[in-house]
Amino acid sequence: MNLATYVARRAALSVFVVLGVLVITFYLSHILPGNPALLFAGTNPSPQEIARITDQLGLKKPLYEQFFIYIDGLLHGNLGESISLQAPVTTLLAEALPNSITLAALATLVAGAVGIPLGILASRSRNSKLDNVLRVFSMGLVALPYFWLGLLLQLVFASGLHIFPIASYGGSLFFISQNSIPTITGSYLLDAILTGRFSAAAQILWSMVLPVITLAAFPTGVIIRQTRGSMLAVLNQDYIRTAKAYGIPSSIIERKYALKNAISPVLVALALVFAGSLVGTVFIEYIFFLQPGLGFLIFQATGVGSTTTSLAGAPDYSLIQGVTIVITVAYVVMNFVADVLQMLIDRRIKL
Amino acid sequence: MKPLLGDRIFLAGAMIIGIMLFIAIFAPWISPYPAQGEGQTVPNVCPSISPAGVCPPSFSHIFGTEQGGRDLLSRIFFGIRTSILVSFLVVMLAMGIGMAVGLTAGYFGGLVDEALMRITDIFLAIPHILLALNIVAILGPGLIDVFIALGVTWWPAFARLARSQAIAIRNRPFVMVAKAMGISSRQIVLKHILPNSISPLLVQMSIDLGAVVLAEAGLSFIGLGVRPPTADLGQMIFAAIDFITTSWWVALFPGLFLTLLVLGFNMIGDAMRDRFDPRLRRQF
Amino acid sequence: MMQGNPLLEIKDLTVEYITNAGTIKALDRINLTINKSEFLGIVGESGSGKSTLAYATIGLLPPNSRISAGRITFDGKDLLKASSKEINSLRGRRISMVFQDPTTSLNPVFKIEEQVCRVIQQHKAVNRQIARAMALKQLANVELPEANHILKLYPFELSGGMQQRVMIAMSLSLNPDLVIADEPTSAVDATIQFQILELLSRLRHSQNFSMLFITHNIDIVSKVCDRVAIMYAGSVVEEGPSQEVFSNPKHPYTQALMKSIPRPRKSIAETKRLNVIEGSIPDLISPPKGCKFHPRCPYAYSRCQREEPELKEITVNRKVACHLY
Repeated sequence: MNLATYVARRAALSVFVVLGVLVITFYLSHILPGNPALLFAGTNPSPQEIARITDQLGLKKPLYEQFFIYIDGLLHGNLGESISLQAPVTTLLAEALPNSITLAALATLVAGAVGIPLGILASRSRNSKLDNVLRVFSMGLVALPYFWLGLLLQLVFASGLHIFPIASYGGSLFFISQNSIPTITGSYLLDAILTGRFSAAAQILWSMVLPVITLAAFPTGVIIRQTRGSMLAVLNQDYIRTAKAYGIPSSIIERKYALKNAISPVLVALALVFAGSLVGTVFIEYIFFLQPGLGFLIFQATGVGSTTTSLAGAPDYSLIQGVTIVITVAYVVMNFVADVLQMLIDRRIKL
Repeated sequence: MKPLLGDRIFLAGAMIIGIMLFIAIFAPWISPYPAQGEGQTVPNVCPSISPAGVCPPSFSHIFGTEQGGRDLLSRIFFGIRTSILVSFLVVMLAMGIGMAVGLTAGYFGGLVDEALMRITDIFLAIPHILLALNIVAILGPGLIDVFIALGVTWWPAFARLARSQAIAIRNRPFVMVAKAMGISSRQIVLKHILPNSISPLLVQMSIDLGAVVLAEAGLSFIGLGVRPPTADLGQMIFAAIDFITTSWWVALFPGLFLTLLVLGFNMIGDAMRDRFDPRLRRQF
Repeated sequence: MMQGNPLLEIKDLTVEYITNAGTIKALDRINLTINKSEFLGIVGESGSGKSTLAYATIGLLPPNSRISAGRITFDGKDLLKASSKEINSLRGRRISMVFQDPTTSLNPVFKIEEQVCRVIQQHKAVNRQIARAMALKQLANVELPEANHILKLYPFELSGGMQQRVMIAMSLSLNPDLVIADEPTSAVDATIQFQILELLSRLRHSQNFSMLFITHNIDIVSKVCDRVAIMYAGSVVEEGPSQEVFSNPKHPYTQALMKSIPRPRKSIAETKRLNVIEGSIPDLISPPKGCKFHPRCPYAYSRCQREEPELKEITVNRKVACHLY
């Protein structure tokens, strides 16, 4: 099976999965709740509000029609309106996505840059002290809750040692507007770089250090373990024995031969890590007040500050739904990319 | 031969979880202030330092107090109880659903298999926390709802495992004999296939426990978890944000215990996986 | 048969594996010599230590192994005392190896060209073009058609027989003195087996090299090897010119091996049952006292249970380790 056919098949499968996800969110929002309209109407809706939304979603019509309305809306880029923020969901998402993607991308980069070498290091001397230390270290990383680590880092390095700013891109709420960074991609960091505002970009990047480290902790642990396991499995193989038997030095074997064989599962892991980091932005963006962002949107949607005995306001479901769809699509796309990469590396893979 | 790291990890994990289980079960009896642990409001013990009742560690309160003057150590103990309770129940539920789906798909094969596996794929495509978040947003927060939401999120992995087990076993002679003797499919699945497929599912279960604890804490952090006054480690950390610069202990200790709990579960899960995974060949 | 021009000398080599169950003595005071331009066959069942011998020579024993005694001298150089740099420099260039299963011994994600040229360029300071030309020559040498095309392929795109030829080409690409072949034909079909043996015979005459040919199949040894050594449970039990050992086996184990070779009969009436050797190989952690073969030997007597026989020369060029002689 050649590359084109494989890509086509995987693409079809991905589309199918996305469709399935849409069905699920539809079910969750239209079928499961007692009165779906309430879900989208926000806190203490008036009867007129409820009526309006019922109409809008076509809730009185048969189910399959509702589904069509739903899908139709999606295809036209209409994901509904956010009750809490009084803006179309699509606009909000478009605003939030680039920054969150930047965060997730940086976190993935860090996870790969730190995790892969450490994993290789661990695989070199199986069961040695170094290996054991690294294994326990990666376990520790994987057990850390995002939100706790973020708070600790913030406490120690920001408010404590004053090395990094406590919150916000650039360190203050007004940084972006003060530096009048135009919107090209929507990602503050990228836009600053693209328009040549390098000192502003540097400051933005500096303010992103703690968030990215927090976001990257769990993925780094995962990558270390994945790389180590993968390398060990490869190093046990006969073809590595052949390379050794022909006098190829271990450094070259490791870097070139073993790595190429071992990298596939690691790539898949990195793809998943990226998508997972998007989910992680939920915690990071709130703690470090990095707006706009997907995670931040979710926080706003679920009614922040619900530490009192009752949930402060009903959740803004259209927003939640929108974010869910976007992140899931990102997941599916990343999986697809990882699969194609795998196929390019190891030509043996057939569907 | 010196003990492999795997065995030492298992022991360490087992010890941690042992302690945690002890805490969870006996929280009402070992907490210094059980009533506070359960959420009772109390008078402020340090009004001069903090009007909100967040008091630093002292002799009477080893870890200090959290907002509302409640003893932090007691709250942590009860929080551990919540985490362990929820995670066990969730994993049980997930395993139950997963096995039902997976065994059915694997045993019957064909169209049933295809359909069920496609559904599983779709669920697997949605990140756990996100799906759980959606469900809790609809159902509203609370212990039961969190339990349902998380359980519904975690079953796919179990389904896959159960299915491959079922496929491996359904062609074995004793199953054929049972079929020939006219025993109903349901009986065959329940009595013959199920007992034989348990072990990899148990391994998966131990691996998932840690992740579920984290997910539950995460949901509580966002505010979609169990409702106060039930103690919850994630929720405690969230509440600590407001006081973090002045009162670090409110955030530090709950998180520490949470991390330890997850670490313990992960260690056990890892050690079990290493032991049972045939692909991780040990060099002699 | 060339005499008295030793290339590889193994003296009193003892190799042990340390396992959870105990220490396995895989090789017990092995003494062997291979001369220049000589093909020596090593025959034995699995567990006889023949593969251990191969890996000890090239220095690829697993980490839980221990060379507790002995010496391996290659062209005057003590291999066991050499530095890893020296060993690496020898591997592929002067001592090369052909492995049993070519499907797993070639790296699946690299093209043939990359793998063969890498070996060449590792030991010779040439650029890729020259290495490629050398590789092409070798592929033609092992009678692979369309060598140019093959270089561009991945291993899985070749058949097992072709893959093995590629391995052989790789092993000869730098004109080594010694090629160690660890059961090179065991993983391929019988017809391919025959072709590979023929190929090796032909190559032997065109390129000058010695070979350590390891196999469990005594039948094929006589086709390619000048001398043969029979191994059992970590020791050499018989040694000599292959034709002679084949036609006149002295050690009871060798005799049993010869008898167990299935041969076609002229008519059904003559078909006999497959001869097997009673019993199984001894536990190498705690082997039987005395001669290791005595529990299975039809001629064993009291001395065999007490004393282990030494490998003695009984006639010119013929050595046997048995109390019967």
